[in-house]
Amino acid sequence: MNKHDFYKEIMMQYTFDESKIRKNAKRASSASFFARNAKWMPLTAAAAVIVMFFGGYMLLGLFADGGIIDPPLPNYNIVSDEDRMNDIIYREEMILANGFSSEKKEMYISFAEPMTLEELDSVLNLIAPEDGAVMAVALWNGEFVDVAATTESADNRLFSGARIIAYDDLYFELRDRPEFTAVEFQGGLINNDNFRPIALPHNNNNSAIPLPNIEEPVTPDPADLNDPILDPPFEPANPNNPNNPDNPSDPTEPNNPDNPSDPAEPNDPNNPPDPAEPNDPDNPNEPNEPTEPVEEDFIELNIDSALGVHFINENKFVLLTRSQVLLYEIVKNADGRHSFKAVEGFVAVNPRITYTDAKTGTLLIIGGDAFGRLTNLYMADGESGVLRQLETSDILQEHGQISYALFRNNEIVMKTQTPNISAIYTANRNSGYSFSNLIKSEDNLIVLSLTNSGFIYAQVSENGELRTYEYNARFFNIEEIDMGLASLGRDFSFRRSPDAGNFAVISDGIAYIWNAELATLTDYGIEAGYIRFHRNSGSMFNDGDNNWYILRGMQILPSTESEAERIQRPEFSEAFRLLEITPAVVRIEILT
Amino acid sequence: MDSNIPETLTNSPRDINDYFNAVYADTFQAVSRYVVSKCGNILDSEDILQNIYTRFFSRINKKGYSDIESSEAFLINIAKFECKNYFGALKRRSKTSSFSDYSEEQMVEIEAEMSRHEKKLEDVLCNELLARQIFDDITNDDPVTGKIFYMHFVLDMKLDEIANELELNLSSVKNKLYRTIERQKKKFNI
Repeated sequence: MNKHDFYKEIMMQYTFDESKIRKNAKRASSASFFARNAKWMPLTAAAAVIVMFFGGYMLLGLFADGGIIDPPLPNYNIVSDEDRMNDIIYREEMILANGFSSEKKEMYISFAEPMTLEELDSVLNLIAPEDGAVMAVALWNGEFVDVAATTESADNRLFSGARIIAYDDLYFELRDRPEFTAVEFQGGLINNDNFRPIALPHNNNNSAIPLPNIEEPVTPDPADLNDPILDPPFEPANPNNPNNPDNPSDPTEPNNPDNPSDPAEPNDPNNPPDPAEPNDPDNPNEPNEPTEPVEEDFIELNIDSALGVHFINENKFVLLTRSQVLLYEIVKNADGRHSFKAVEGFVAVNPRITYTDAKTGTLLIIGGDAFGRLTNLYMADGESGVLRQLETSDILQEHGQISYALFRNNEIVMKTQTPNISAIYTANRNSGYSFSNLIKSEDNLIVLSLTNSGFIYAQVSENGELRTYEYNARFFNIEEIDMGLASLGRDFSFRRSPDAGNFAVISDGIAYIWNAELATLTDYGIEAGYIRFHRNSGSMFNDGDNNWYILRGMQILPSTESEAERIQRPEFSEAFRLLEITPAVVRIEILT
Repeated sequence: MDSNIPETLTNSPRDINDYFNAVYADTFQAVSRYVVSKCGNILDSEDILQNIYTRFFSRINKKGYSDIESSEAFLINIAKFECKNYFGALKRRSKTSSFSDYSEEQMVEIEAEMSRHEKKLEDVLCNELLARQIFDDITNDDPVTGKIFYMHFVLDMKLDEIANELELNLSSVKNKLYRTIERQKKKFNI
């Protein structure tokens, strides 16, 4: 093989998975056009209408227990964007097949960014400078405004769409303008009453954003709900130990001080909570009203079965409910008031945070399918502000579950479990977070600690034999490391810190602490059957009686209750803060 | 109608499946070439291709395909739509002149080396971790390098064709390609 063929093989193998694209095209097409991540859920007796979720707008019906997320726009016969795009493609085919009539036709245009009438005229003049070949008739900003009306008032209002008249053979030039996202002929699906701009994902980073789709959310049986606890999962080394049943579905939120301590009561379907009105649809924002400062201490979102709110950057937060993972953006309207804009959403039963990256705010979230099996993994990227579902269906297939997933330096380490096989997968940003299998074993694999170049894991056999290994991504190898655990006997358990750095090994009532910085396991003489790391710090832990702080070097020091309280969760927004969360309402305080 | 695509009048699910598979095999190279040249980062191109073929399958499933004269033209049309809306407005790169780091003699030498048989390359390919690392290194370098590698090695495009397609000057394409090859030689000992 020469290098030419070598690079050809490398690029062919890893750029596209041709068979996957072909397979998914047919599979996705039969479910929903854009939603490769759609999960169909069975309807319950009181189930909701199908919800299509897109951009800043949500078409919705009532959920089974009565929650409303955003009010529907009144008197709108809303056509889905999927159908509109299909219609656009179809009409283009007809044009290509039959040609143009060279007659003037009315068209609806969606803008990529809001613009004034003057800016629109400039764009149209580029296409057809001759008088009358193309002209704007009306502009859209919640409703159509005749062009004559705007020129009379001579204001600089911004609009998001327009209705124009143009020779139909200018269609492709209009369509290809970067200022426009879509051009639709009148007489199709769209008319003056139901037009709204197609707001396709606007992504400055050019990274993939799957179009959101929420369908038929399932309200889980309250009897199945577990109390959230605030520690990383407790992992028994020996899965056969009857005292420590392996419980990969233990819902934990290690970095979630906002989580209510009691499970939420399901809402009474006969008495639903009041709908939220963050944006009053009867009074759309009037951009030309005087912009006096508005005093607003907090904003409120009515939501059903809220579990937790986590800001990932300045103005975006992830909201977990009993049946969904949602990404919201807080926006400031022209009148100075803030409102919530629903950005993305996925159906997931009892989702929980499995990892929070303290540097970037990035979250990894695990959620269940319709049967409660933990099969869904979501990533809310603090840097790009994107929520996405990561592909795990091929990995888990029929019987697998995700135990947990950890994240550091744009790398994800995920452990999965089927009845007989434990496996560790890795994925990184460069591969689009596509998972590849690293290790599979009939023994129990436990990821103990993330290192700068990989991770440390334990492999525990059925008879309790323990070996520890370090995976180094830089040198692509796995090396056994001796932590001195062989002398501990057969009955031990591990506790991982929230940042997956330090960890504890508990055996025979003694806690041994792994100092990640020094790569040493040390007996500090702590007698404890149980260790809990601080939810916001991997350097502090509690042994049941005392708090301890792991210093640089070999020492640990006792730490007081007040010192523990002072360690706060890193904040990823300076402008907003969660004020209150109940199962029905989320209140966000406005700090700036 | 396309030469290799079966003609059928029934539009049954099986016929649609056969038609789709045939079109997919027939058009993938052309469509992927278009997408790779338009995308910002080659790692996004798989998502776009997925959208294109999903949309295509949905269309023929609902409305049949008897009216499709040229499946490749049809798919490229969809690709234009998908690429445009996937990335918003692509900034036009201004053409500035630059000098290649490599003289003609050096490039000839590199190309000669590329043509030499080396047993260890097969071993490297079999080491999935290492092979993946090499791929990641190419695509991580800068968004264009991955596209250049794909277009040159998979699509067999000449460097001046690539420069034209990507609206770069030829010396930039050469720099990115040869610099990456030389760097990987040292980094991965290949």
